[in-house]
Amino acid sequence: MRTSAARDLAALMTVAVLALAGCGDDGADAASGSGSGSGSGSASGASAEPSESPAESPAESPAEGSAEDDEAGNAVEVQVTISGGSTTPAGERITVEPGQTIRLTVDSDVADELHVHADPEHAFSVKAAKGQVFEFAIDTPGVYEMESHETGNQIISIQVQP
Amino acid sequence: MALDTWQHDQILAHGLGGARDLPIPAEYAVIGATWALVISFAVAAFAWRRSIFRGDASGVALPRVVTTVVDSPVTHGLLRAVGLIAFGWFVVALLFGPDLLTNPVFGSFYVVLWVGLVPLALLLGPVWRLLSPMRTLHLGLSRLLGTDPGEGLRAYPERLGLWPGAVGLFAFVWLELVYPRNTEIVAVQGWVGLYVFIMLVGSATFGSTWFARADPFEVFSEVVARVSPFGRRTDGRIVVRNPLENLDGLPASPGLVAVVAVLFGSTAYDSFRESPYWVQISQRYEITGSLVPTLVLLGFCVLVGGLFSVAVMAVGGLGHVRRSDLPAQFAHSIVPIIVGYFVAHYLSTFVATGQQTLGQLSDPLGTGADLLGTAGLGANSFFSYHVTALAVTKVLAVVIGHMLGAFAAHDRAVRVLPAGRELIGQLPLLLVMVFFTAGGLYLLLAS
Repeated sequence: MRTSAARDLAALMTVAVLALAGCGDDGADAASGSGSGSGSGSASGASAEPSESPAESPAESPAEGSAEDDEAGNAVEVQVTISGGSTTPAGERITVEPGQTIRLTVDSDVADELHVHADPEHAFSVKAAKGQVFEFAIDTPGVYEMESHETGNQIISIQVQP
Repeated sequence: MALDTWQHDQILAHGLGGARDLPIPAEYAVIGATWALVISFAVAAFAWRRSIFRGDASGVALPRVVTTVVDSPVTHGLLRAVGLIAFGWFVVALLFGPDLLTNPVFGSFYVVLWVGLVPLALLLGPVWRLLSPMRTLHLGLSRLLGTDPGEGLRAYPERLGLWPGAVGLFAFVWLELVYPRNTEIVAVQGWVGLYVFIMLVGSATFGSTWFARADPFEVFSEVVARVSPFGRRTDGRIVVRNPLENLDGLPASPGLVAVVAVLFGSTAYDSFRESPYWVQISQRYEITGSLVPTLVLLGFCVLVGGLFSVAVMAVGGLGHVRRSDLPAQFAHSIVPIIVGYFVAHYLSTFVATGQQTLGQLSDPLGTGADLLGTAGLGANSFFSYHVTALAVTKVLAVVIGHMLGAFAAHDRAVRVLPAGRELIGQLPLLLVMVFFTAGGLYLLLAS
């Protein structure tokens, strides 16, 4: 009797834990944000191709979206805006696979530097310009942060999930 | 300069390699929390009804030679020498090494010392007492001055108990988790300088009792050592014993609740501050500086201590124990929960950064030297590639810690709670323990 009461409680708590867990996940979608489509002429990153616009499916999580694509097109797109001292996204989590390309499209009104605290580290020099494209990938599973050096803000955290 | 700031940035990302652990899978957290709940109520309902733990009176004596060796002046001298040499190495790097993250000071202080105290105490018991460079310095000074190291100018006011230690622990976790410039060498210099000063003045005033009550590292080590299988019996013999018996012997000093609250609250805060939830809030409301994080850290500690104390005192009807004494009587039961969560939270950091620090220690001054022959060692990435093993270890550590805590609390309840109230009286505490464990698992899931 006691055990079954305990199981009921366990089930209740399971529900509670799951409900709580929901709070943490809200941000993930926003990071996949719509590409601005403002051209990529001033790209100083390695990317040669123009950034494609995944604007049609803003609610889609980046990892899921990319899993269906073939290898050529499976980059995760992140639109970054640095404007008036504030940065967007503001700390959202994106999920990628090891080695998957992450393509940043950066609109900025100041010169800044983006740091990805992975091993090896990635540092991107941002100019006061729109549509700058940078690409990188992380091979080692874990959670990494990308920060704007000037503001100290965390822009995204990147969950490299095998 | 650019390298400098770049390097400083890096540790803010936590862990010298920059990577943090993947969240544990949700189903692991749920299974862990469910087990914790079931175990708790099973213990309350079905376990023994008369206290069976005997604390320091318990244990199977190891051969007499073990006690003789452990207590020999040679062993003591060797351990003190090891502690002093390690401290000297650290101080040389601290004072003369470069202000870069490649300086071994940071990894040694925040990871090898702080996290390493736990496996050290679990495996070998309270050896920090002998390794402690401050104790050794105090001993040396006392010898020089011809005074008794145990005697100070006045007796330690025992009603303070472990409160100075709790304050010291908070000072450490504040530096580690809140202070924004904690990876500039001047911060560590300042903290360690203050620590040395307070330890020496305090021990001159109160004798070596000061270390047992106020040295944060010794307090931490003594508390964790109570979950180790080794201890000293009341007759002086070194024994091997059930960790639960060992735990039962932890004195219910004033301030023990505060120590436990700081240790658990700060570890939980460390998970919380890295969660996307908190990062986004602090950026949305432009929380800068250290005031708000300090208050949040303090809030976590107060929440842990407060919830625990209220739950323990909620027992209705009292026997021979004063209500206000109850929290200290039960605080030992939170220790295994802390150890479990500490293992879950820091295991990968300890392995990764510990190995990296070992490499850096070979070159304390940043001159390219390789004094220890460990120069090539970088961060160990074992757990980066063994994600499932790490997640399983985390949940097991948390659940085992919870189970030990529930047993410890149950035994204490049937001993000190008034007849007829033993079972109902421990329910609030069990609920709080489940809350701590589930909260810890949730943070492992969400950060």
